[in-house]
Amino acid sequence: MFEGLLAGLHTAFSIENVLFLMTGCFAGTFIGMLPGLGPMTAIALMIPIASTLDPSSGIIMMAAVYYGAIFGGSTSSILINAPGVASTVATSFDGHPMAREGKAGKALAIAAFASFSGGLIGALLLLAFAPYLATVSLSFQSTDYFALIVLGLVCVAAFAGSTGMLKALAMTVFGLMLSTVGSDQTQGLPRFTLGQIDLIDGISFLLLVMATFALSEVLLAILKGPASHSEGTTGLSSIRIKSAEAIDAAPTIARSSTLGFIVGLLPGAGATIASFLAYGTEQRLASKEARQKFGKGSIRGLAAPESANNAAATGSFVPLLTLGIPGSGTTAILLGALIAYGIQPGPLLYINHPEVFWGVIVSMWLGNTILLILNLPLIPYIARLLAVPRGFLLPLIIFFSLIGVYFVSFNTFDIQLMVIFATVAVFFRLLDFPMAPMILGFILGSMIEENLRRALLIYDGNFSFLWERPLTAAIMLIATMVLIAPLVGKASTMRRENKT
Amino acid sequence: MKASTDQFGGLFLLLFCSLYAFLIFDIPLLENSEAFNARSMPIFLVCVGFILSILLLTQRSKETMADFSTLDFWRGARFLLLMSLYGLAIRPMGFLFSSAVFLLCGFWMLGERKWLKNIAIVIPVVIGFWYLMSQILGVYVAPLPEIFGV
Repeated sequence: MFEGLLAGLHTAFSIENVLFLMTGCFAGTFIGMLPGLGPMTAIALMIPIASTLDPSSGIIMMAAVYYGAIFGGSTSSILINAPGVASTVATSFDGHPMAREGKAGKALAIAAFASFSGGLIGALLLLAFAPYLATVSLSFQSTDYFALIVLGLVCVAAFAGSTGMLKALAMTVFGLMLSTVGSDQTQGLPRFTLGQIDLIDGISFLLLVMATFALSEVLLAILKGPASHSEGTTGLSSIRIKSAEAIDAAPTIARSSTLGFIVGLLPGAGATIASFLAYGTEQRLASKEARQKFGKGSIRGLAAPESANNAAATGSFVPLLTLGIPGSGTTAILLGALIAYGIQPGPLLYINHPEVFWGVIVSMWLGNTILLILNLPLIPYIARLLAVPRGFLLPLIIFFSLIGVYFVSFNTFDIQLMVIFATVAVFFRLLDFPMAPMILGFILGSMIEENLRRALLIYDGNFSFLWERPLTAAIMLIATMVLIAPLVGKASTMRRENKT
Repeated sequence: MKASTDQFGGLFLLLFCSLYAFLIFDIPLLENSEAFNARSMPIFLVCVGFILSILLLTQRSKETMADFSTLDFWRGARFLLLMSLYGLAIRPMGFLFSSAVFLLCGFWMLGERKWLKNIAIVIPVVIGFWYLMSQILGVYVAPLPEIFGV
């Protein structure tokens, strides 16, 4: 472990990786700040550039884009009450009232320190847990992996809530179906290619991510017309935090970071749930007097979601790096990028590519420090970018999305396919269907099929592994419970409503 | 009674599953295929897809369709057409020219009508991005139209 950590320090602190880390933090902050564009879009937009780098640099840069985008989302939440991402919605509850009181600078500084602390605590916990989990997961068989992937897919749908669960499940299956397009993995037989030679290799994950996130987001903005942010403020006051305020926020940051990390470990839960959970917990723990301030510019109300969402983002790397199973749409995109590099995340990543494994972990500390020292003084200038007219910004994002995919495949057919997928994605988003489960289904599709095929081969075509192997059976039982729990909750609520 | 968003989505999924199911029969199978063959996963998925789409279609959701009358679908369609045309033009017209025209049209369609300002933005963006990719990151793309032979 010590050697690995040293290798990670060597990788993360090399001059070129520090430069890529800074670029990633800055690009992530900028993209995450634009309302509607979240970490997934930010990472997708950076993939074409990252794919030209070596694996360690590419993944370090994309991880930096990830937490940079979460930080950027907080800035737009505070300044213009327009959260760039769902995970920073809770930040706007107290951050924007502070900005309206003329304390925008202080609100941004608290958000930056809370994010920094959350990310740092998350990275320390990642360092503590990830190697052990990676060692344990070495004993996993394909049957267990099959069950784990099922659990991951079910969790993502279950966390959509009882009302949205059916939609999320439908989108997961839609993504799984799209993953079957192209040559069959073992026999090389063409499936759903419609006679098109361009589809023999399947649908590119980059193409799908760009079309369903970046392009559909921009197209929705185009459909809605230019947005006005009359309530916003881009003028900043002092960014100094008083020592009493820091002391008040410190326990909140520690509690929320730990809570956020634990929530981030769960597949499907992610930064959004972590931020709301931390906000709710702090509100409950606060004294009656302090509780009155929540929603009106409370420092604790701002620090809680900020530290929780960054810690959760770090926590979500644990299942990705140790099991090779992404717990969220964002880590699913990172998984796709790793696979494109020819690196299969999972327990063997820890052994075969320690420089990537440890490089990512160490770069998180460095990245969070860079976010603090680089972004905080630059916030007034970055905030001005929010004033770039949509008429320029939207075509530029479309251009970078299209060209990003074209520069990887050099196939104009991909651009036409992007147009089709973007149209379908806009249709689904207008109907309030989530896109993240679809991407997760698409990325995990080939893995679930491969592991099921291997499991059936080991068990002579028999599904008995689902109950004969204890670990597989336990994971499948958890998956069933996760699937049923929201339905039971909904049924009991309906019964209670009928009684009253 | 108004249709809900779930029902519209369910209908789309049902149609997609029907097409998917129809195409499963086009997947060739080898002689002495294993129990788990190239059709197995798609068959399982289409069964689950049909069940989910029927559940979406039949569930009594309170969520009715949002008001889409404020959305400008024509502008969206024009952008989709512009993207498609860009895809067709990028090779014969070259990266620099097709990208510049694409961006200028995009700006114009979103109400930015000051041509000089638009050109002043487009030229550095297109040339800068081409230079970054081709000269620094080593991803070559033809800058000029095919007729120039570059």
